[in-house]
Amino acid sequence: MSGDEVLLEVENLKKHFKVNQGWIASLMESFGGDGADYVHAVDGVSFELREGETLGLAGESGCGKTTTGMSMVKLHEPTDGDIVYDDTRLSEASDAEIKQFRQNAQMIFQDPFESLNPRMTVYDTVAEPLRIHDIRNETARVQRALEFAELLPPEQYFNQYPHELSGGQRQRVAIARALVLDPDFIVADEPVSMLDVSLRAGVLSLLDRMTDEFGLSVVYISHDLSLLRHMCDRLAIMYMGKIVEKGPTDQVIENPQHPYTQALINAVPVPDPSVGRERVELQGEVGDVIDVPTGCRFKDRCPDYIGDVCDQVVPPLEAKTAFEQDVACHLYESAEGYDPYEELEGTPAATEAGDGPESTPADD
Amino acid sequence: MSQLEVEDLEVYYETEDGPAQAVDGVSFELEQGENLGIVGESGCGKTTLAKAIIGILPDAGYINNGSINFKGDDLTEMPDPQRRRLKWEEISMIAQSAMNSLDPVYTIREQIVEAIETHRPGTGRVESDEIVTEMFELVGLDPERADDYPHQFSGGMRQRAMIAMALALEPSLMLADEPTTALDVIMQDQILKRISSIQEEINSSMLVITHDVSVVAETCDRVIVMYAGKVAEEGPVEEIFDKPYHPYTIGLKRAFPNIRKTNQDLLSISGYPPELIDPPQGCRFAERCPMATDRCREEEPEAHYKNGLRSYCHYADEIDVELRPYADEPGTWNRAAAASDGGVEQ
Repeated sequence: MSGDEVLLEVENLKKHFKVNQGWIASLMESFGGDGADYVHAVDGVSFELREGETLGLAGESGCGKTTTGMSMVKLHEPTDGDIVYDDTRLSEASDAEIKQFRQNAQMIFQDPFESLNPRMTVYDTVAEPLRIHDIRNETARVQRALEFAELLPPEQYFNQYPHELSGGQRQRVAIARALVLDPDFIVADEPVSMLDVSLRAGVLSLLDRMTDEFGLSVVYISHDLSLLRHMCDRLAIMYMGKIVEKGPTDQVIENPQHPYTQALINAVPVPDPSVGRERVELQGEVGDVIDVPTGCRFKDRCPDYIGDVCDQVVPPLEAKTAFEQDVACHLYESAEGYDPYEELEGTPAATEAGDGPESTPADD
Repeated sequence: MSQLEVEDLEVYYETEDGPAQAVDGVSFELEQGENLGIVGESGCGKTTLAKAIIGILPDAGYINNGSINFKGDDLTEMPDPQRRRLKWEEISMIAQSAMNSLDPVYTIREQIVEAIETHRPGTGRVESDEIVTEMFELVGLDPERADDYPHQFSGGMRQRAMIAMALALEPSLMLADEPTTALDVIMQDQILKRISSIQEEINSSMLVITHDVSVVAETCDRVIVMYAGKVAEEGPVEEIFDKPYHPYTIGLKRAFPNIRKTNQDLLSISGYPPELIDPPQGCRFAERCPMATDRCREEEPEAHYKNGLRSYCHYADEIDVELRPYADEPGTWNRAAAASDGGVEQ
């Protein structure tokens, strides 16, 4: 179903937010005090979104998945790094190109109670993007979008306001609004987490149809791995602003390699009392995203910590020799021949280099 | 005698259009040390049920009929002062947005100590502090942070502080209303694990109220599936998940993706639960049930007992014999969904 054509590329994306310190602190700062603190919400994330694929961004609250998603549709200006769409770097794009991009990049938000303007009718809500982008044939397009979203018959919904609709119907309106411009890709941030269980499957199958029938690429952002497994071709697991593991969904879920991914997947309860689950307890809590630790960000909680290299060298997300997915962890041998010990201070490079030739990538 | 016996309980809410029958004739028992899960959609009455048991119904809510026997005493007839003593000491509750139910102007320690001293007059400060330290360690919080104010804690930490408070007096019954819904999976897993180890230690029983069937599958011995104020089905957790008889249970079970499975066909139950002010006669699920007949719409189902399950469906026997594959097939439900979305009937 998914072609290999790359639709959009995220290159070393960073988004840092200044911590609001209050006016006295900022006054002090302007008199030459210490620099401001920044939350490193997203801190060097690279991946590509292929045509027609569904990609899941998973992780706990605060891992940067929503910030990544919002940056992808340009609701945030990146602090560093870039997004390449249609051979255009967005940082260098002209206004016309940005407008074109905005038409092709849409977002569905978590909470349909908050994301729809309470004073706009369903029709106006769905038609607004068409007016902004000056697209004709308004009524027919709105009608088609609502029909696709299974709000039938569409005319019945035209003049309704959000408060007259149920949560499921509101989320369908949000989907119709995202689809009405016929975009290339959609970022869906926890699209069903606010909906009642019995209604989730309906909205999910609608989103499924959206990829099948329109050939859209979709980025699903969720903390719910069971749901992502159900929806996505590929998965990227985030921790403290970085991707720690990325690969085909089945690989990542069934054969996780990064110790964090393993802990995360292990913690997901299984709706089947006959399945026993091994419960490994992870120490501590997510670390400080303002004063980011050196080396691997997961090291303090990691059950497989192997010493200085974890403390000092940031593990790059890269292909490994032993499995299909990309992992950012020093436990595994790089498929590209990268050796983190070379970067490790105080380690005689010679001894490490001596190991090198013997452990050249072995195919299996 | 069971620890808790709820019999034919009716809890109504006063509204302008007449009473809303939030809980309508619910009966069940809970043994000492047992974990009972209550699952269902929003508005099925599961939280109201818990509130009625601990006695914190909002002003508009009242018990219309039925009894709640706790260790032999009927809570519905117990005078207020006596009932208040039971609260926290014997029955405690971890509320859904517990992280918001801490008082912002007192430190966490002050709030837990207050609960201890109110219920156990004469407890010295030293002893109370010891309990706070012990409870903090149990839920995985640093005891030194007990003197923090709630706003200094993250959501997960506040939720754990609330759990520490609910456990401080070693209650024999805990009502946990979506205790971990607001938390991340790793935290949820740790907290559920801690709660069950504490429970084992003090041999308390627990009522787990949640919409998440996987949490119930892992923490409970028995489950009640509620729908529109009534029990739809009840039984041991293995049987409920393995071979339920009520179509609603089948639907609910199949609406959840399982992380251990690929290519699952999820099923969606079309429509919405009925109005509780003037609920339909007959089976309350009939309107959304793809297998409903005229009999379902007219006649209220009696309990069927089979395999340890109590199922309120007229066709519980037929489900077992021939209808199960049909009910287990998402297409069945999706066709029903398509038909009702077409606006044929309300």
